[in-house]
Amino acid sequence: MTHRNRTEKPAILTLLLAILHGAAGLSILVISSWFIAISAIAPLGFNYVIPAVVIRALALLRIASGYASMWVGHNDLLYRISGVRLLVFSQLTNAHSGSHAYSTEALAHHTEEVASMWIAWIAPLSSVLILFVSVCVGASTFGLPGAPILWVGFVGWLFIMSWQGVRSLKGAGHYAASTTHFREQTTAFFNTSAIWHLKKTDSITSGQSPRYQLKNVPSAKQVWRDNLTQQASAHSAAWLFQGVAYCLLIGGLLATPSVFYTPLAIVVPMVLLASPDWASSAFHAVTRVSQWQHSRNALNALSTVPYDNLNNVGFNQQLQCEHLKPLEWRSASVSAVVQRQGITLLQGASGSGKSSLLQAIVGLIPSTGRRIVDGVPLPHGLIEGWRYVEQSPTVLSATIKQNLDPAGLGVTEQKMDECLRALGLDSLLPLETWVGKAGRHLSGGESKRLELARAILSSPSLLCVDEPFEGLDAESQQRVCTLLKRVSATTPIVVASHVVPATFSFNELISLDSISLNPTFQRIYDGHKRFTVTETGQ
Amino acid sequence: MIGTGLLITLPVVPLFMVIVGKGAGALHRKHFLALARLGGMFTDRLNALPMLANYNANKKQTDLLVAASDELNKRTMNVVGVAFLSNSVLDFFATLSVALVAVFIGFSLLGELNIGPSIELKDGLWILLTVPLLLSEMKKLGAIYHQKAKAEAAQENLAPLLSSTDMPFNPDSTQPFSGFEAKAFRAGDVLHADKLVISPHDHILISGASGSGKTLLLEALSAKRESSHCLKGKVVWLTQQPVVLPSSVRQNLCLDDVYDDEKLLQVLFQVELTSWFEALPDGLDTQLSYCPELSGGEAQRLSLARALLREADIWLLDEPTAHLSDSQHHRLSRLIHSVTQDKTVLWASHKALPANWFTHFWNVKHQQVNVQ
Repeated sequence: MTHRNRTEKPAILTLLLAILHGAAGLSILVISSWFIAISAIAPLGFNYVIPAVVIRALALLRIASGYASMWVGHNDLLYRISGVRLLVFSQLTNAHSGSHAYSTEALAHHTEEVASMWIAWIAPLSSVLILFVSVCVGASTFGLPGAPILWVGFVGWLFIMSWQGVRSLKGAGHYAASTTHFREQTTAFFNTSAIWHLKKTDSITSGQSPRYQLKNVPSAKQVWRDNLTQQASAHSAAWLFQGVAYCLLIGGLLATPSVFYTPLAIVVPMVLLASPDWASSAFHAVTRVSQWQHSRNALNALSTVPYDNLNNVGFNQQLQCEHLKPLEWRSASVSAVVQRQGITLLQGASGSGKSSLLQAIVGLIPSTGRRIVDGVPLPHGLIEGWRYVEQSPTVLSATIKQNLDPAGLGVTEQKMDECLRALGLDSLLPLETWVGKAGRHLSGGESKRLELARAILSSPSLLCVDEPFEGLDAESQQRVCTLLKRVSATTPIVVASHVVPATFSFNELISLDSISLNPTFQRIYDGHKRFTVTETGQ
Repeated sequence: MIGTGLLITLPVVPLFMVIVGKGAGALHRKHFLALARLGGMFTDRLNALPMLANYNANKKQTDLLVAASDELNKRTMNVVGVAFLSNSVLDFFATLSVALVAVFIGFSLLGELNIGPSIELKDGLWILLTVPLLLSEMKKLGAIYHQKAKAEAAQENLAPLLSSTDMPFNPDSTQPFSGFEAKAFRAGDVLHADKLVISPHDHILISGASGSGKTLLLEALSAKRESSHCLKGKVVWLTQQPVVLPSSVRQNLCLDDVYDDEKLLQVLFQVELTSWFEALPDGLDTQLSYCPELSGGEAQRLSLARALLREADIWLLDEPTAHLSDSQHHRLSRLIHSVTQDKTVLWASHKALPANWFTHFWNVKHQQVNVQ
């Protein structure tokens, strides 16, 4: 897998460029200040051309490495994000919808945080660390006056860093908790929009007439507050370090003023004075470590239950469902028969479990009981050629053509064209029209029919259609009836619907109404003696 | 001398940033559609996972995602490659000014250059330290400018939503409904009527094909949508999607209000949920969940009980029986009719309801409300 390799390769170049950028900046400062100092003394025969050239060269180097490190870093970041996302995607594909206990928004955030590891903290932290150590070592090696002060400063920096690291770990916990809480609250809030009008309101007087607003609307205030607290703690650590650096400088100058009477003596004080500029970015970076850790844990905690994929099963005579019961059902199981030819209608009030029964037949959700094809029982699992047409349609953000053939089976354009026209979807043509996000918006009825076309074009060996008539006008309902009738000649079809158009002809009927409403169950339909609703054996 | 130099360079910095920003903006607009389409693909396909599993389309879609993210990264780098220049412009000025200032001061001290007043060592060092600080403040300004642009874009997207969250009248008011009369009623550009009259205790049936604007009319009348007139008084809604909160029965009925248990039991009795309620293990404190433990009819009865508690004068019913089977529809409609007899009722439905329940009949067709 190419994308896996991309993410595991360390971004050494990003790190090197960051170090080069920092080193060039610091060197300019050191050499400039030394140059100024030595110029003030101006020893005889001092060659001032070389330092002047070096300073200008370093300046160019700093600018170039700055741009390059940003470019390389972001390029690397983008490839990492796509790598992590593909990894998450491949982990979640073929997993039960029941285990989707995450929001896509949170996943997008976590993958970004995990991918930004190098650019957000590894590069800045290690470049500051390496710079600081080399400055200290360099000062000691060349015997610069004040080198011990630098070492003390370095130890101080390490202390403040670890203190800040511990604080930010706690802060990141609060931040993650408040973000999750806010996400949950907003989702629940928008899901219950139908009862907003029953809730209490606040009055706000703005302008001439008072206006009223809902109370207890989820607020992002806590998220903001936690975020600001994190930033503030990084700032305070940076200020503290700056204070320590200046105190050390003054203390050093007062204690041993005599050693500072050479041009080289200017180097250490200048480095210390400028330290807030080159060393304090590490305090912000260390905050990101905690956030990265949180996101990584969240991604690692993604647990998925994979589907058992079964090869395509076609049937010659019939599919028998024996005591089939989706796991989420509480009381009864269903025994029914679906014939090779014709349409079976599944009826029942909303909430009676039509959708989950269809999904259980196809194998999209776990269930108990057995599915028997032509007398042979099938193992539990998702059967490749059996299609479930969802009640709330999924439209991919893609072209119509990609929507109609998501698996790349090579359905011909002519077939697509025919199918769309049969459903009255001429308006969606040409097939290159982009639909979904940043494309043409589809109405409920259009999405419904597009989804049906997708299922039919995939030449299924069993077609389970959930509420095909909902949200359709009479003419479209008629078209759907005709098409289903035509397809049923070659494909077994189960339709779940509470709307039954007058012209809809079906061969069999399964009714679920008495399951969820009555505590005791009875045989509800004996016309063909093919299906019964039974009590589960308790 | 250095001061005048800085005075000239500082305004140049924002100027360069604006130029670079404009360039990056133009590039972004050029790639905008592709970036929007490719950028949303990850979350889009995540949301579509059950469907993709059903169609065995994971492999194909993963390939598409790989191709899309490569393309997205390429285009994004094109745009940010230019945007980074703005940062480099600052870096350029910051670094070069340090270098030039250093060389200038050094040469002045050496006596090679004689421009302006003479500079001493401590002045030179001080200038060397302050110049980069000045420019790093400019860098912060750049970041804030970027944030401002982001905030403006967000505000543009949210403005239509934010302006309509508050209601022009007090929904908690206890003033009784005293009637409503609207001449030349309009709801935005999509619905109009010559004259609409609602007197207290009217029962109005609103009919019309699905999608003709029945819901829109109810929303306009209750000021959820921009319209020329709206009902003043306490309103409750019953829609086709009953809301069941994942909390106790009591909280489901009370929401953020307080009612005594006797009152709660009384409304449960009114909506014929008494036998359901008596089977609950913890009575009013039984936890309900989003899972369909309640049938559609039961959930709708629970919302009916919730609405009854509010003692509102005006009831807006938006196809409350739409997803129910015929027998459930008949039972629930009768129940709603019996509990709302002394209220003002506007009932939108495309299912059959007895005509003698209603005093007035409205029909919505071709964006027009016709009173019969």
